[in-house]
Amino acid sequence: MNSVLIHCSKLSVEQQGSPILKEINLEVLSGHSLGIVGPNGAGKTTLLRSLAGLIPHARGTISIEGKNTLSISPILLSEFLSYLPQNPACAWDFTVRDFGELSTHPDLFKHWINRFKLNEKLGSPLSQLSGGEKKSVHLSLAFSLLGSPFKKVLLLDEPTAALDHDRAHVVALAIQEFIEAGAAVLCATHDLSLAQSCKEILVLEAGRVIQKNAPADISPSELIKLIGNK
Amino acid sequence: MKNKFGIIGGGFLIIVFVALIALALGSAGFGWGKDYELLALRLPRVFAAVIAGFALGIGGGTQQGLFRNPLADPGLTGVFGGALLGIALLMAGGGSWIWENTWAISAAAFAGASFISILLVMVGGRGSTSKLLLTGLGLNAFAAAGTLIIANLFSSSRDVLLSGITGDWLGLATFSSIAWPVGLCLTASILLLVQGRALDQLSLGEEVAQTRGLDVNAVRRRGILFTALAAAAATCLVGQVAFVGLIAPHCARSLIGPRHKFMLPLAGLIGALLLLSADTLGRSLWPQTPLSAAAMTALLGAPVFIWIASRHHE
Repeated sequence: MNSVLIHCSKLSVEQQGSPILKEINLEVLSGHSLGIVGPNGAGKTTLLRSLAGLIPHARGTISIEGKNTLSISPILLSEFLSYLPQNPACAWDFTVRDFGELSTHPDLFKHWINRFKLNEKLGSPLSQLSGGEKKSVHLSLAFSLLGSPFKKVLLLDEPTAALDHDRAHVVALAIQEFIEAGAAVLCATHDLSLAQSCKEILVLEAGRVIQKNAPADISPSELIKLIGNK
Repeated sequence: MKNKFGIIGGGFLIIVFVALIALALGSAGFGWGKDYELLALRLPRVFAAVIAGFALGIGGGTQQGLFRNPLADPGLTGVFGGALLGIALLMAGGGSWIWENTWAISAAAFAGASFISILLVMVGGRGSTSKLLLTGLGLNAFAAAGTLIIANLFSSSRDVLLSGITGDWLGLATFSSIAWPVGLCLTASILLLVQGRALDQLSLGEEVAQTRGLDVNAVRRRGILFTALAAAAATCLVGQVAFVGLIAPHCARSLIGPRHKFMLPLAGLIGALLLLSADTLGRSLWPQTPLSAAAMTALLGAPVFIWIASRHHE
């Protein structure tokens, strides 16, 4: 029996007086993946940032494993989740190896670097990598931080943007492995195939949930429309 | 890894070598004088330059790490100006009492530097490079104006303050006058060196660092406070000296990479080497009218600043 890992109730967020999320109710079970789709500005990133504890003025309740994330410290919250932002960046020209040393699990970081076929670029600085390779380095760091003992929640914002087909496939496989190990994976995406590979799809529009269904219950043409790809 | 420790060790040996030359060089020619009296005279000056440069290199590297901005420098962001304003206010109100209680000068410099640092973070800390530097420029101008007004109103402290503005205090160094600032420079440097791992995490952005368990606000508070302490103590030793905190981390990153764990100690050593070389050249090339260490570092630093600015993208 899968337990409820993430529970959101009446989650609302306003920024400069404008509502971004409106009374979102959501439950995600362990061993489940949720693709969050919707057009630009629908609130996908804000929903992930709220779950990551990055919007302290969010209203409503968010709990991960029964702990209210709006009231616990970020340090405690980091014990439960790993988060990849939409546009990950690094202020300095770190090498790929330097990134591994930022991880609490350098061995897992190397494992994911190998999976993304970047093992020959360990000594390369980020400035010498392509956009997709840089994204893969950030993904490797986020994946490695799930670590051992296993963190339960992985939040990914546009994880396959800028990736080629092979590396996007690595991401899809990784998500499958994490949910088989009992994690909950949420990813905001405009990638049709990634959304379809999730167990459920949550459709946001103007800050509201308008649909939450299994991919089989949404036709590809409708999904393309819902994602915002005209 | 071994190579990195080798570079840091090599930097230390170069400083020892340059310090020995600096102790022997002076207006009387090359040598340590009869009974080493010139050595005793130059030793506090050389020691003060090394320690102040070390603290400035580390302080500059930390400020760049905190703001994730290669153009940040305590001199350019007004922190030195604040330290000098603090000293000026103390001189205006303290009279001759302060010369018997030199710790008060360090305390006043720290208060001034902290005040400007807090304003810098509140007004320009979150935003573009230009916002940060323009805020620093404004705060620097404000602090310099305050210092000049006090220098104008209180003739007894005028000469000391004007030589502080031009970064010309190393010539006044005696063992008793540098004891407090040297102690504070070393304390601040040690406190900043242990922030290396946190600054590395911060390189990925505040939000990512927070989701990885870093108490971002605490790191920022500590970094700003300890950088203000380093800059204030260095100001007490040298006066205002820009560009050391800018150039030293930049050179260190080129030599050893951007990880703060290695970059910060090397930036300290390069800062020490830079300030010591600038002071030694300034007083040796023109023995009759020595050039201040700040003027020499500006001569070297301004082109580097323009070069970094031309390569920097928001």
